[in-house]
Amino acid sequence: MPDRKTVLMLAPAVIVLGGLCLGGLLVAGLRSLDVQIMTGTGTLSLDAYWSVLGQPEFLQSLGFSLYVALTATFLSTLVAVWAALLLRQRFGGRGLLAFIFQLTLTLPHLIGAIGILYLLSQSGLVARLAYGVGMIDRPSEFPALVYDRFGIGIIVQYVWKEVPFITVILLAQMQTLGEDFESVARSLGASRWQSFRHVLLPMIMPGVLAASVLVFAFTFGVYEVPLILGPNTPATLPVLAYRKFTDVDLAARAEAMALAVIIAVISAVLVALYLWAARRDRWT
Amino acid sequence: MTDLTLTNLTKQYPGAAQPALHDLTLAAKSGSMIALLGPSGCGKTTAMKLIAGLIEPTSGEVLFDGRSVLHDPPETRGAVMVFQNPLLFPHLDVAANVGFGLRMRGVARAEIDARVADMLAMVQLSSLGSRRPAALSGGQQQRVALARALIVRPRLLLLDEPLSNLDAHLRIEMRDLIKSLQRETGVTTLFVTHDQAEAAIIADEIALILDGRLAQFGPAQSLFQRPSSLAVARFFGLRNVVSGDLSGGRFTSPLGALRCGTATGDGPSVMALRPDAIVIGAGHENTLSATLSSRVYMGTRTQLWLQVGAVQLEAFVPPDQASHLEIGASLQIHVPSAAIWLLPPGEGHIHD
Amino acid sequence: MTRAGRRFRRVAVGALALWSLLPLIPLGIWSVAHGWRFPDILPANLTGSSWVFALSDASGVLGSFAVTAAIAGATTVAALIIGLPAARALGMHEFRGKLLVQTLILIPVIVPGIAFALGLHGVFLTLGLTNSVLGVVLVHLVPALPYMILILAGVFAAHDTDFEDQARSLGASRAQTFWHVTLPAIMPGVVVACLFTFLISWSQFLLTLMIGGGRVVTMPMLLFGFATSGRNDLTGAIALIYILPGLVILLATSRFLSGRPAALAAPGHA
Repeated sequence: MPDRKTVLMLAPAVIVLGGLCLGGLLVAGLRSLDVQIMTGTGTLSLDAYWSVLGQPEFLQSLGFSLYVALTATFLSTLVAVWAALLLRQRFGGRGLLAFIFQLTLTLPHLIGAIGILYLLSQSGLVARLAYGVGMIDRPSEFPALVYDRFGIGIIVQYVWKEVPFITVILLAQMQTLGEDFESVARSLGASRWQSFRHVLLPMIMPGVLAASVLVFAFTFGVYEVPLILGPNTPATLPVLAYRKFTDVDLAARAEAMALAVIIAVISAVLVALYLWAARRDRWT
Repeated sequence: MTDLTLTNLTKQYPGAAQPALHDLTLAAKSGSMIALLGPSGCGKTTAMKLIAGLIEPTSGEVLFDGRSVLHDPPETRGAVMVFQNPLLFPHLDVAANVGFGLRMRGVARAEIDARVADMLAMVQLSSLGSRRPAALSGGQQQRVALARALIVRPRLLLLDEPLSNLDAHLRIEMRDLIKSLQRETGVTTLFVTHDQAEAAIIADEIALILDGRLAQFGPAQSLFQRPSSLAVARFFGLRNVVSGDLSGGRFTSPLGALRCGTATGDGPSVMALRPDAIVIGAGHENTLSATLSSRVYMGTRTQLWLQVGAVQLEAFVPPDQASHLEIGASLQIHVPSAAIWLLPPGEGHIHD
Repeated sequence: MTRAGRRFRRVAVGALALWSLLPLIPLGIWSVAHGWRFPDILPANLTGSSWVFALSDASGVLGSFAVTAAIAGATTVAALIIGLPAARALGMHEFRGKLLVQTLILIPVIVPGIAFALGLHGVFLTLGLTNSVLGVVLVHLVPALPYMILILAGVFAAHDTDFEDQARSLGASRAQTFWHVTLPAIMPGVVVACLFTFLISWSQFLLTLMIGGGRVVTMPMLLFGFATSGRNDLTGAIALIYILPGLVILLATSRFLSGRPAALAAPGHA
């Protein structure tokens, strides 16, 4: 057991986070089972879960959420590894690009979502440029990149937001490693590609994994981005949950709670994955 | 094996006021062991990286057996570096680390295994092939790094301060291992160090680099005893430097007139006098009267500071010769003419 | 590096920079556009009227800005008071159950807001905390506090207590040591942690929407309202006003961040 002083130092934070976050999850869990915690009434039933799982829109939403988050995570990671390799070099303009990345990191998701909407909608800036070069004659000819069932607008927004995040993490890790490992590899006969593939990549892999897990969790759970850029159906799980929560039909409330629990469970798996990846970050 | 020639090698980093390496010209014969000696930040590591191809020179040439290698990427040059930090790849076990270079060359698995086993035996680590680098001691890690470099049969071995992270007793062990492996394999080796004793012990010849320039190149003894400049003398800790005038084999200075053995041209000169060249007692030449101003027992020798007129001289003498001397006592000393080394003037005095 | 390599790098850097700024470009143009219709690539006429309206009382922007800043400020102060001791314990001490505490702190970072906010809403409703600034501050603590603790724990982990021992041995009292040695050493980290906690609260959308219930109109609520009402020009101006604090904070801390860019990972991610 930690000593008294440590317990006292940790207690406020543990109580606040445990109470609000775990408490909120617990209440959602109970209400999804039709237990009313405030009145102490209700039955213990899995009806809400059966109902949710039986709806085709749930499976569609789940699939859509996973697809969007996976695609965005994969693309962001790929671009970020490349961007980190680029930013690691010394060249004029490097500081500026680093600053722009930092700026993107501080921007709220909402800003990016609205900006991308104005960029990619059928009357947006990109469509106007397409008209300008004669690719389209009217807005409706421009491909649907927002509100589309492929979630392209959402994915673009996520990649925009998450590339700087992963880049910054990887860059810090690469700076800690230094360049000497690769120098050794090169002088031992590894080509530029081999020294990346067999030395740098395995060494940064734990960081890449951890960052990817975080990004997947973020992109899986964001609400406002699919709200602004996503199609009505399929909605992502958070959008679907909120929609059910605000439904006039009160039975939908329990389903919303069930969805909250499902989202939390998927995230919990991610927490476990993250911890596993972070623990691998030690070569012993 | 490989003759290494550097001609007018210069590296200027962008934005730096001084070149990191200035006009280095050096020839290392095949199979020799050359120490690049100098204080930290003097350009030694830059020279290594230029030779290995990890950075590109601003100007100058790097020749292996008379052929320029500047357009060869590091992986085909065959000049392998071993750094101060062993830099074992943490995600690979010891055997995989040693076999790394062969794997990159696409050598067959069976041959890699056999050569790794041989190499681990050479560095006396046969039983540790399956360990992770983190589970090895510092000395073991450095031996693995050495094995990893030698296994690719490099044309040139570049050792960058490979001993300086090791404890004193491990340094000696590792130093002897490097020396014997170098003899055995006959690989032309450059050894970067800031430690003059280490350089003298391990290398056939020493290249002293000061402020990015080659200050002197030759066998250890010539650098110690016949420094080519005051800067070289100063690097080796020589503090007995006296300005004066040379005329007809006699050097006239505040110390009086001294006969010197190897004097060349007449005119203003600076005398560099090694502290161990000073002998207590009168001699048949160059006898001086001195007052003892300090005495420090240093184990195998005793350091004396002697006031001769206006000049302070440092002397190292055997402890038994100095034990009876009192501070403030007057005594006679002499300087054999052969031990007097004269340099052209110009860099001023170093009276401490 | 070859000439072709350098040219490729220039193109790549330019592309990444442009890509990162891309969403801001239409927002910027809209904010000064006067009738920007398809297919004009640039607006025919420019006007400052969106900005004039956005900064007038009628738009409610300034009031909302103040409310958002007050909520973010209160969240930051609360997170600092709660987080500082916890960060010190996590950064400087080893104890059993540490991994458990660390995991608890990581949960809000990874579990989406919607998952706990749906349950929390009912509790807050019963306690009368919905539709109130206090309720919003409380719920903002969930994403904000972990980052405060994680950044500060890093600061404490890097803090060398030998300096404190040295000060004590030189005759400084416990209080003097804290004031003259500990505080100056951790101050830059504390300031950065506070600024980024502020930004996290500043960026919240869903939690404010659910607990504030439309009554607590922070900047993102207002911005979303204008965005969905089709007033692109006003949306552009308000969006740029909304990102101003982030820009200021970034400029103020860029020197510190060059050493530890990971601290930046915090905002916008919770």
